[in-house]
Amino acid sequence: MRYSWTIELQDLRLGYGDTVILENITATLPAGCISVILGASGGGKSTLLRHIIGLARPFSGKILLGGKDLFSLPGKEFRLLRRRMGVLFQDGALLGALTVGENVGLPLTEHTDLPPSLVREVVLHKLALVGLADFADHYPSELSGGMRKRAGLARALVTDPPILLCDEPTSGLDPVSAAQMDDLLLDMKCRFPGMTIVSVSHDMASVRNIADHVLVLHKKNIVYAGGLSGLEESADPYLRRFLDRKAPRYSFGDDPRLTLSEETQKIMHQALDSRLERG
Amino acid sequence: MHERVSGSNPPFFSPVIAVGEKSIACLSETGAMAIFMLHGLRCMFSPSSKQWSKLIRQIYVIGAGSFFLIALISLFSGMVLGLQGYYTLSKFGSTGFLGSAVALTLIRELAPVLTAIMVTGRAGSAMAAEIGVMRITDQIDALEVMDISPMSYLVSPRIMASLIVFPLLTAIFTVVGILGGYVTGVMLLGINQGVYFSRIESSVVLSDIVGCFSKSLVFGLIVVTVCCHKGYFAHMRADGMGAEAVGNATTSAVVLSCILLLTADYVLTSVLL
Repeated sequence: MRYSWTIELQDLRLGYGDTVILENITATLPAGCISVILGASGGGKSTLLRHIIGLARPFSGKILLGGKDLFSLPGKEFRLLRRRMGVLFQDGALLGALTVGENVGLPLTEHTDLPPSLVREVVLHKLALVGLADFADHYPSELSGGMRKRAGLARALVTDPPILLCDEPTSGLDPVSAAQMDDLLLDMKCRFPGMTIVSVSHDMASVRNIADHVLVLHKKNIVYAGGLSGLEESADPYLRRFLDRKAPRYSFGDDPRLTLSEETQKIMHQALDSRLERG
Repeated sequence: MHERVSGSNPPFFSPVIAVGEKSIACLSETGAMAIFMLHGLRCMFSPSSKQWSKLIRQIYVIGAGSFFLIALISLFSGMVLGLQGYYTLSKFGSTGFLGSAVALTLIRELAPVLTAIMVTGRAGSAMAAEIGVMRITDQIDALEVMDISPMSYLVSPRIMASLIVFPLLTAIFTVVGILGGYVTGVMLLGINQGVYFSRIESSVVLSDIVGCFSKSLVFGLIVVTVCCHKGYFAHMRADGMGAEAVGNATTSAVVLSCILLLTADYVLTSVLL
């Protein structure tokens, strides 16, 4: 590995338009570790990731990658810095018009003049790392969701980036595929020592498998930053609910809409049955 | 973006305010599209030799893919022109001018306009939908993250291809249309074939051809810019999200392209005549 970069978030305030989604975000995501950004759906995890990637600009604060402030860099340096990030999007984000091999090799073919045979060799190596070496000539539409994610991971790794960012790598996968993805990330951590791996997730099983460092987001803030063991031992009610997968009990009061009259139900079912009988 | 005028105005101002807001939004979008087009044109001159493969693919998609449609439409347009022209001219005893009528109508108006409308329907809608889907499935973000300019990768090759393909398709439309006029005028209605072609030769001048190709170049730019722009910003539409946004973006790309084509046609015709 050529680099060993930490990601530092300094007093970030971010969101879209006039909406503030996260504020007072200060944290360090250490190099050579797998850091997991954890939080509820809609809690700002993916938004934070988009800002770290440089796809959106924070309202205030700094994002330091390897000590360089991402958003104060001039255009060319900003682009060069971004080339050093590998990103796995939620569904892989493979280009549908290209084969899996062409997708994985895209950063190399676009940014270098390497001969096609060498690009192909690198592509097959990266695809082999994720168990897809035999699928280089398939199109993304011919792959399953899990395979597309793994192909996306291969593309993210093709330039040997010092930073790998993964947006919900296990979402939408069956338990076996999700565990396979976890194993892949752990394997990458061993193969590329020094690589900073950041994963966004709300899958606690996956977090327990892979996380060295956890950042928990809740109500626009960080409510926990530290090791997995500290998180497991936390007595914070929100964290406990998250860890034990328990939802707060909702109270609907005495809303009359909670009950549907027998007459209405009868009419509805009769209508549905008669429609079925008529075909 | 403009700010909405506050609701403290008397009710009879509402239609005026609504028209004003629509006009400003329209102007704003036109400006955004112009900037988008200039950005796309600028990216055409990026030094990367890798643009060639994308250009050739787009020439194939827009041009070769539209060839048979254009040939078919132009054949029947020419045949209808021949038929209508023959019966109109016969009232004045001047059916010998059928060749001129068919050729000039096609070269000056029908070929560039109908070609552009056909390509909008076939390739333009596909462009808007493809780029829209790429946008909502993070593919465009993925390109940006890989430091591959989406404008250079997606838009520029399409603009460049349209500048090559539109004049070629327009030329094909014209030639096949003239042959269509020949089929009805000469083969079915019995006009002398020498008269048909000699009238074309004597009536069509270089400025007609230049005007025809100028129109096709402008129309090509309009169609590709509008369709790519609508797809590229599908995620920012207020009238839907996800698949619905892509559908709406595609519809509005086709509708707006057709409106702008006919508007530009009027402006260009008044300048060229």
